[in-house]
Amino acid sequence: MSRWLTLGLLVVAALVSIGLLTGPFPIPAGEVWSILWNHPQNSQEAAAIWELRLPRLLLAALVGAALSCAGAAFQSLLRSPLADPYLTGTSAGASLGTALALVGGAPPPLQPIFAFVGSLAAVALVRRLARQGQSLRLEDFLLAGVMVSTLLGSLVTLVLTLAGQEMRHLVFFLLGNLAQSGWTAIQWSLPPFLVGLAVLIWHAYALNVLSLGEEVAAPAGVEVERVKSQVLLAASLLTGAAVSSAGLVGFVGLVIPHLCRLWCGPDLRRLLPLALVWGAGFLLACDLVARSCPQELPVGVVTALVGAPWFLYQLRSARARTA
Amino acid sequence: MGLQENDSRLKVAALVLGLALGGCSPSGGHPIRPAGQPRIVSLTPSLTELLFALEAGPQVVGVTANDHFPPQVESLPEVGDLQLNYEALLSLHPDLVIYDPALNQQHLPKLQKLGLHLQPLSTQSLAELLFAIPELGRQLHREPQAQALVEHLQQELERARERASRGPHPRAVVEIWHEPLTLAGQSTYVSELIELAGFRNALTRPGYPTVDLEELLRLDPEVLILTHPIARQLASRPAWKQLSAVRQQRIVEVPEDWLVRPGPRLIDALHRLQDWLEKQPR
Repeated sequence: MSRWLTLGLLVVAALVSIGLLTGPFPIPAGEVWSILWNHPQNSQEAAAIWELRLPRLLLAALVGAALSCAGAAFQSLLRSPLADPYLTGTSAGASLGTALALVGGAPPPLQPIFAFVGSLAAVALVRRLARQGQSLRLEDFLLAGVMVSTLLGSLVTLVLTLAGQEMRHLVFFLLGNLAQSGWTAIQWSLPPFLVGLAVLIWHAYALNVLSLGEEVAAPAGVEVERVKSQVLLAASLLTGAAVSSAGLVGFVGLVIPHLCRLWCGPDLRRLLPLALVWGAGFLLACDLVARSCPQELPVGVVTALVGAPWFLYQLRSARARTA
Repeated sequence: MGLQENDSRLKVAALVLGLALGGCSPSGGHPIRPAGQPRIVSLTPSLTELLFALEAGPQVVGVTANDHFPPQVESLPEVGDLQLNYEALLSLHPDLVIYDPALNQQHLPKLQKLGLHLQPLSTQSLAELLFAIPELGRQLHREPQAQALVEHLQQELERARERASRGPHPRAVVEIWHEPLTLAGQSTYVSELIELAGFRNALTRPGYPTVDLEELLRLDPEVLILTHPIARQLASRPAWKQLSAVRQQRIVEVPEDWLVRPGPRLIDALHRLQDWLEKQPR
């Protein structure tokens, strides 16, 4: 496990270095480091590093880590490798919240809160729809999640259409985009990210027990309902932090926890740190690809192009193993 | 088995890294500019046209992907479109970045942090355009050219007003985009221009709304002003044939850029519209 964690950290460090050193504005490597150390004012090179490259890299890492940890939590809670912020409706809820915040002109600190409320409302709705009596059936949860996502997605389109021409650029943003990253986005999505992550780490052991089944967890002293609702809250916070600052980025929360579980097993105490690091690394790599293309791509497109085939391949080989 | 899996994963990782590293970033030297004159990037196509009209073309070092006029801009480095590529913009080392606040508002917070010399120039009406030209002239120390251009435009506008006062004033709509059908509404630059040419805008809504066919049938304009050649095909559809303008073939085509981008080519638009109007049987 620690091997994969070390490798992950190395990959993140390498990707951050590449991201700092490359770009359309040619800056010699030596100068990049001196700009990072000395933070000079009034130079365009410094602006390129401090206002463009660095915030974008940090935000990519933060969003990737948040989505990946949220995905790990959802998968453990729902006991399904298919659960992720996208499929549970959480992302769509966050995206509607963000769209409303942006169209309504909410100040930056409120945007992650809107996104959080949106994702929480979406999860609550999905849970309610999927619940039958006391039990929560997984198929129902995922189906309800997909339907609620579709519904909320069209509400986002509705909001943007009604908001008129000047809001059309938000379509780009909500497609999953790090091009507008700045320090404000980092500043206001970092606190919900840290709180969400702390709650997940706090409940990691209880989630492990819970994943053996509620009938096992309750006698073992786990307050099932409290843990479940707090974990959903935390995962919604993480999703809200990610979506409010980078739009809808899919497949990070699905693929990365899945991949990490292959390396370290399902124990969340090991899985969360791995998912955090590799989620950050994955989105950093995807964003480097997105911004290296002649016409810059929304990063959500890149994560989907990489993530979807990988996941389908895993699905096939899993089926081949069981056959 | 485990080793093989690791192996293929490494390959995927290497592929992703390779793509990231080998990605094509635009670079390379830029042509030498006249010494002592500011290097300019224009974030709005209509302002690019103004720069060239003021003979500042050689100083323009970057434009948007939507710039196509004058033809020499096609070979200039691009800094994005609706989505700006800020680093590409910085890499051109501009001394002056001009933009229209109405069109580039979402880019401002970021642009302001980059330590660039920004010059907003609003051109969303004829009055604003006639005000922006001398302003740009002052910035570039090209006051004589700016004054000449303003005088020329004012003469042409006066001539157009005089021409328009003679004729009939048919009710028209202006197609701005064909799918979804988008028309120019009241209090827009485009509406101002066609009214100056002698038309009345049949659409009473403001801005640039999308309009469904039923509303178009209800408006039943006497003239269709089309800005995209492809819109002509729409006019041959069954429902469109119910429009008086289509039945009587009262359709006038004006290239989009002449009509929609505020700049010297508005004169071409006015001529096209008024020549057509005068040819109509009374």
